[in-house]
Amino acid sequence: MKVETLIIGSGVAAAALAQRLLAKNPNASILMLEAGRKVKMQDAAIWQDYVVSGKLPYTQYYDLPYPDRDQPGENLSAGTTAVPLDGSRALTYGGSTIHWGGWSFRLKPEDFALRTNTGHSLDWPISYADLEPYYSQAEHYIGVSGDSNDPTVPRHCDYPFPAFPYTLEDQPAAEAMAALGMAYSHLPIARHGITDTTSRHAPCQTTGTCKYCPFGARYSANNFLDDMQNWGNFPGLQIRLNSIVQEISMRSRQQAGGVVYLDRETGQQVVVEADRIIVAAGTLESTKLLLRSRSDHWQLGIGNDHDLVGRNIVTHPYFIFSGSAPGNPLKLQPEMNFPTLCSRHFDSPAEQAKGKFILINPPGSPTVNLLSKMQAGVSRLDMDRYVAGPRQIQLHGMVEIFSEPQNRIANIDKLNHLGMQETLVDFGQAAGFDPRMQEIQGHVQRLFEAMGATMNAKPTISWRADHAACTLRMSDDDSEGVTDRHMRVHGVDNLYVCSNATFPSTGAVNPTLTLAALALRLGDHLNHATGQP
Amino acid sequence: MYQTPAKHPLSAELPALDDATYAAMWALFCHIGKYWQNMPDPEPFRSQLYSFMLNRINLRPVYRDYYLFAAATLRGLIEQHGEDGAYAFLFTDTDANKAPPETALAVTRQKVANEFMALQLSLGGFKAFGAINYCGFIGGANIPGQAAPYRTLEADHEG
Amino acid sequence: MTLEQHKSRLYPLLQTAMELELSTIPPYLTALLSIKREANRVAAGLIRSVMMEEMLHMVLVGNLMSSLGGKICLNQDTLPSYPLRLEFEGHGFKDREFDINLEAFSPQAIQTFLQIELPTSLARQPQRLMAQPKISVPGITLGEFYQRIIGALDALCAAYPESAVFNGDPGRQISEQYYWGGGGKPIIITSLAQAKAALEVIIKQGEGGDDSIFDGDEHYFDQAEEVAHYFRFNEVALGRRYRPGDKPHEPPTGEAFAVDYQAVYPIKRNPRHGDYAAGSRLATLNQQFNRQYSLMLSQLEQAFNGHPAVLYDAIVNGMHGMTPIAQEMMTLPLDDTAGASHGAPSFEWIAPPYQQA
Repeated sequence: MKVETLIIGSGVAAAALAQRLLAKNPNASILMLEAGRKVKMQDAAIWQDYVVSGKLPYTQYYDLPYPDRDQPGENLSAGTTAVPLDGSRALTYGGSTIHWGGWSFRLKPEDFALRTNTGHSLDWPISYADLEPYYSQAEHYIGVSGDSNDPTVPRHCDYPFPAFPYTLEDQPAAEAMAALGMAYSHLPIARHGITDTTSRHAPCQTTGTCKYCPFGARYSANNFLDDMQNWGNFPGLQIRLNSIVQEISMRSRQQAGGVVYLDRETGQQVVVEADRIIVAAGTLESTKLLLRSRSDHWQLGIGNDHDLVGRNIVTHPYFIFSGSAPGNPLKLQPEMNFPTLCSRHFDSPAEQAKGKFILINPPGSPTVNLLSKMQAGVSRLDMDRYVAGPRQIQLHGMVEIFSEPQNRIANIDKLNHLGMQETLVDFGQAAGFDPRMQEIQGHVQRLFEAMGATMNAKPTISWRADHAACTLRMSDDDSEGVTDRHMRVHGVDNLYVCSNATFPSTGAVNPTLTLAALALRLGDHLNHATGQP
Repeated sequence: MYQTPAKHPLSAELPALDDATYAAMWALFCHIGKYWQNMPDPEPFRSQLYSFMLNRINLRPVYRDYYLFAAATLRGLIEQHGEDGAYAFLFTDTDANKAPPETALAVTRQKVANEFMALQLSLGGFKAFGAINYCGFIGGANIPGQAAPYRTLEADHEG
Repeated sequence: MTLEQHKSRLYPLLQTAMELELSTIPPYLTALLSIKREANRVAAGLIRSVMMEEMLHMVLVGNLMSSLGGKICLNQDTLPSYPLRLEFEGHGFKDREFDINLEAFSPQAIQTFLQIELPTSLARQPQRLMAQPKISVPGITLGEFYQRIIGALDALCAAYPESAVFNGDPGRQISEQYYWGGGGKPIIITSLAQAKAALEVIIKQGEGGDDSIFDGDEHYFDQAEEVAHYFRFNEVALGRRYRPGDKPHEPPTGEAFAVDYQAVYPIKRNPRHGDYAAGSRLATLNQQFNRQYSLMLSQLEQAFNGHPAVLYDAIVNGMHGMTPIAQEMMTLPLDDTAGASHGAPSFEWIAPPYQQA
């Protein structure tokens, strides 16, 4: 078979890009190949199962943990710092947006000039100003509720929906930050609000079950793709699930010809020819696909003549500081399941060389769990004492780390439980990381003191690969980056990557909004290139 | 709207739950609110308990048996302890919470009562403990110009 | 006559309005779901958008009833049964009668939908049919019927203070907190002006404004202009969109789109549960569907009568749960004979057990 545009993956990058291409030409021929299956969304029975038992229907599509003494597991952690893959991504239709938190930050202008400002990693080949219009479009596309007056980043267009007011649970952190002169702001979050225009995407009903929204109010790419398929008039759009792309085949060194994929239902290898290919399969899979697409034209894998493909991987270490405070007179408890207050005070030019970080007041702080008490048979009187009694509190955050070439990912010649090639992760934290965490701990310590709380000695730090990025970095110089400023693979005319892998750096914030902006920008670029009316 | 609901193939073949079993489950639900004094008027939730039970059975057909079994277990407990005593025993007996459930009492507690507690809290039982929203409670939208559907920080704290 | 006596004369009109609005949803849903996927996307989208607005109309009528202190009944006795004869009482010579069927997407079905949504300005000859009317509408069109309700409210408010007329607890009404959809927002009614605004939405979404194909609800909802229900069905009938400037008495002049009446499941018209062989898959599915449908109606009744939060359950379980069952039914033939009709839900009542509990 033959298509104009082949998109590998069905997450936010694929969905936003397809949307933009089809907006220009509703008859565009687009085939989306997704390795995973479909998870039922907005299903009342599954939702209630989650409410009463915490079970989610998509965790079966997570990577297994790394092998250890007790379990065979999958993938391989070869470095000195384990970067867990289990839980970091969902290998399913809709990609990781099926489980994401929806935190929708923009990078800051200085993030685009990391090397110029600090000597670390790379500069972006585009500036904040280049991406700014697409940030606005992305906020409208995924439906972000945010504070349009927040001065953290320059903007020329309001958020589509107003910010969620700070919860009462934010009060201790907000007061402590105010007392210490640390700026805080509303966390921009992908939750649909009430619209005055016709929308098939329901508004958030603050149900607090965001990991499985009964209304589809949090952006999930599969909901949007379903909507395009069910109600859009796009005769040329096809989405195939259970289709694991094995390799990209090259017509010549400069021309990608198509892909070979495994149809998991029939067990057959299927060949698809395409005029252009967009790899939008997440950082790990996009990178591995280029690496394993070896031919006489590209003996080390496509775009890998400089041995850059798969190197420089970063993720965000996510830290959790815990502590206890004497009482809970306001009976603060988790009313929502998403945060409303964040601080980008340390996400600043002054902190850039050391590694910027953000702080989040998490929605489960203090940790009051009424259900576990009731289920344990605790009496009403004791439950009241528990709610108002000493409280366990937390502050969360994440910190920017910098690319280093020895940190890399690659394929392993072994299939995981979903039939996809396993991943080698070779990563070691930099020498400067522990001292940096000490500094961060000092700042958080002052916040805990201002909240009247006692901090536990050490934070827990997760290196999980949720925000894995930078393995196919954009650069105008092909000796430094695998892709150019339009995410086209250097040296190939018709092969693009639309993934966090193309980020030259990730700042201190979640990457998804930036990825959605890049996808819309790529859509415009391709629409312009094909000269469609 | 073009998605098939999650439904176990066996569930479709099961006979509908009988009225007496539903009535026993409704009594159990009401007694949660009575024991913890956290739901003064459970009446509006009758239909929601029913749709919840249907959903549980749709997902896992064994729930139909759990409900039948729980109704019978409760009849026995009530004979033994009287009505309030039976529920108090069910809600507080520590052996009944040992997993996996291996006795009639444990199944009734873990597969039925504990789940009803989760449902009851999410339908509004949480309000007695001081909050106005809760994970699983459909609190309503964030509408400009209207009060937020959860307790908020005072306006003068707005950063 | 006391105010309460005046009101109790109005309640049956509002109950009729509720039953009318409800009665349109099963036929619209049946036609919509009978369309095989891939085909008729534009037509499917148009039918769906009308159906969503009919749900809003139910909410608006429910709020009006609640604002006056009345109660909506949705149960076995008020359930529409098909074929449903609608009789519109005009001024003597202008009576209209027609049957609403549960049937597949077809030119006839669209003609019926046009009849349902007919604007007063286009109402012409009587159409006499044979059977007893099931719902009798005091008005030659839905629009005229709602105008009569507005007239009755005007009269009531001329005789009594508005605060006494609209003395229902607004907290028992369905606000935008509880309802959303493509079709606009609910209006909480505590005054004559709000009551009129709600009824105007229903009228204009149905038949358009005065001498206009557009539904006019952009004034209420800041929506992009949308043509009224009648004209949306006319677009399907003629396979062409309207565009701004088009007139009600003239055909649309916008973009053409394909309508394929063959790409449809050949479902049985006006099915009854008894049509499905005992123990068959269709019988099992129909039973499930009817149980879910009855549960949803009973929850809607609860929602309209003071427990608005139950609407969530009705939406999440009811609407989301029913459509896939209906779709599966439509893929199944009634028997093995060649050309056998396919199944479809019968929309009949099965009392939920809690109603007896």
